[in-house]
Amino acid sequence: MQDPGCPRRRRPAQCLGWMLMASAALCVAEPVAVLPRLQVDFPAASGGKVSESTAVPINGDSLLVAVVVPGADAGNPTLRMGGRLVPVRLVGYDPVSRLGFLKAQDPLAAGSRDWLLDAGGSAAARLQALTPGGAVNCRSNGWVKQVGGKVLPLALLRVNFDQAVPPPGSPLLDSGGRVVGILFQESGSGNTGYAIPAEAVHRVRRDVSNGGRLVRGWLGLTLRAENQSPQIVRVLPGSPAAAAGIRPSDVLLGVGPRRISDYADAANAFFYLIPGQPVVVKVLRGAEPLEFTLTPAKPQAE
Amino acid sequence: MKPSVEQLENLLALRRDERPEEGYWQDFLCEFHQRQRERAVVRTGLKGFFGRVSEWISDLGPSKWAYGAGLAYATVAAMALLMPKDAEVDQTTPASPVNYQVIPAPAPTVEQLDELDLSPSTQGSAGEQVF
Repeated sequence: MQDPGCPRRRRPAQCLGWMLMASAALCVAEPVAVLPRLQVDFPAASGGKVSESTAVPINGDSLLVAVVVPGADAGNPTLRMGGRLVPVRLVGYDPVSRLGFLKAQDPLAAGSRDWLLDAGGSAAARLQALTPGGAVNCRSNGWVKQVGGKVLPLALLRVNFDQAVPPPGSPLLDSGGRVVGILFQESGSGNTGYAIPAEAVHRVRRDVSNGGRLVRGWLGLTLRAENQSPQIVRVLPGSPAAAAGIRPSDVLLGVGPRRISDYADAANAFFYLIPGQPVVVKVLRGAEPLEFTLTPAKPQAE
Repeated sequence: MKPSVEQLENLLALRRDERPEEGYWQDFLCEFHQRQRERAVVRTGLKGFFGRVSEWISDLGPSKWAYGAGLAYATVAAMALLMPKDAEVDQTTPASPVNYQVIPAPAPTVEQLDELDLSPSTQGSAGEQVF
């Protein structure tokens, strides 16, 4: 029987090849097709503006994460799933990363995804962004640690898109369907945006999702923002750094798994410190590399 | 009076004795050319130049004094026009040594953002940061 999709003159082997390729394309596209559209609206704060973000399931079916742009009121979110209003409440908000965590009253059949918590290898990788209009091809293009003369509290992924930058909160998936990060905002030039890495999202979720606030580990050392070299200026007495034997003029080489080459690297590494969890700090003293194990404390002011 | 045959013979013998030796004219010609070349060489140098000038002036006759006076006047006028004037020095300003102080360029301002707010107006904190 003649297949209506195959012209009469095309050979059967060629038709079979096209069918196999189409099947393979459907398999590759499958991970990005199952998520329903989750849109969160945050009302404008006084003198601010309304924020619209895509929400991403982060833990099970009921916890979602979204981006709250500056000027929006994070406290009164409205969630729509496929155009249908879903009761939701804000369970945590971190003003540093501007991530808001929402909990739906009823479990959502949105489907959760795996998150790639070590995004170091995703700094230059082909990705796909889930948008209301479907998947958008994009490519991560390194880390952004500083914008203008301002060092960011945490490094962001720079992502180049094939088309217009999707709305904030859009998840970025690697080839295995894992969430590498969520889009934070446009860069303002071309089809380029900044994304918060998945590791940062989970670091914030750890402290914030139960109504708390982000508490970064405190080592008790100081650096100067204008110094390119991550040289320690002072070690505060009684601090974990002083107890471990770190001295002023030591140059930071690494904090935990992160290598440090400048001040912005150090600021990013300190963002991930958790009070009470030991971390290995590598320094250069003169020409001698040294390693210390420090247990970050809660900041003294708190 | 017609000379006798004997007188003619004596006269011919005398002429034969006065005839120069063979090669005399050749040597004379060579010496003449050599002297001519030496004279030409001397006239091409500075000395020859002055020599020719002095010969030319000598050939001018009484008008050489008028030429000389005109040349002297032109020389004095050229010197008056071309001589550089003395630089004017302001004596009212006391001389003082010039000090050059090397001022390093100010370090670029780098701020630490406390929040992830990338708007251009956001203010961060500069200087020493505690971690």
